[in-house]
Amino acid sequence: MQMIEILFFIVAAYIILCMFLSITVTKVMSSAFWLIMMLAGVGVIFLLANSEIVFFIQVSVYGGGIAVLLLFSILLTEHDERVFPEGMSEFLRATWSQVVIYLLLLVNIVYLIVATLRDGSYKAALNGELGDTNIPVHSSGGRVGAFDRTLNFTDYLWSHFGNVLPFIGMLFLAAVLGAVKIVIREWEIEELKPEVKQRIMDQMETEA
Amino acid sequence: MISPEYFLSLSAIMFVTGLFGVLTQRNAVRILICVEILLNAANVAVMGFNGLFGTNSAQNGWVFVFVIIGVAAAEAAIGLAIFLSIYRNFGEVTVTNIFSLKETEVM
Repeated sequence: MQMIEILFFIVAAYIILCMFLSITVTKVMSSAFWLIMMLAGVGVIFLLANSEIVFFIQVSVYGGGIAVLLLFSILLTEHDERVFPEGMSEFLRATWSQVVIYLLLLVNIVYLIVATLRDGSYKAALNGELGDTNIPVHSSGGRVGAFDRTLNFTDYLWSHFGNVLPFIGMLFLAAVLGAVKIVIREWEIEELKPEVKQRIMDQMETEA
Repeated sequence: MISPEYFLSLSAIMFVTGLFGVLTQRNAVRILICVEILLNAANVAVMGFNGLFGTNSAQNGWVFVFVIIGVAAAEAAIGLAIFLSIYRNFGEVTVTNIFSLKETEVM
């Protein structure tokens, strides 16, 4: 077994541990914390697959943007801090249909993986492997190496998928405008603090 | 070399666990956290399939991952805004107690 494979297994175990913790811990804040840890682990998985730029995007978008969004929304709301279900009996009584779906899915996926691994005929179709630093990629000017590969990728992205980044930008803009429209609210004057209320009343009087 | 089926196995475990969380959790923020796990499972799978096809298409998967991460970020922004709005109107974000779209009386 190669070093990079051992590294992969360690990171995969870390991801699975963080994922189970994020679903099972009691506090929602801890749940978000373990989710962020898991996302960082997924970023390392991308790094092991030779895609430094995706690692960077993963850490900056998930570790930065989505983490802050989650923390703000958790802090701004109250939560029923119970994890559902609380006990095994309640679990079986209330969620037996979900458990059946889960088991069916698990059996299906495990069967697919085992069948694929036993068959092995897909290996003939492989012409590249992850973790291979000499993998043939889009290259302009024969640039090889981690940072040059990122540079190659940006060339590739802009030349072949030039409409992807504007699309993502438009999506973000629409999402932010929609979120602001949903959250924005006009306060009733009775709800404000007395000093703020007084200030606004004074303002209205001077305007009148 | 990391074999692509390792990536696919990890992705399958993540996907099934995320789906289980979406089906069983009652807190809306926890459901959103599980949706993020689902999307990351998709990302890992795309990265694994990206390794299956070498030569000039070896970076196409990265573009897909870009788009998925973008969609996930937009979805999180909208979802959390909706939760704040729900919290303001209902005082809680427990999805089983919020059923204003449900028909109250069946004739």
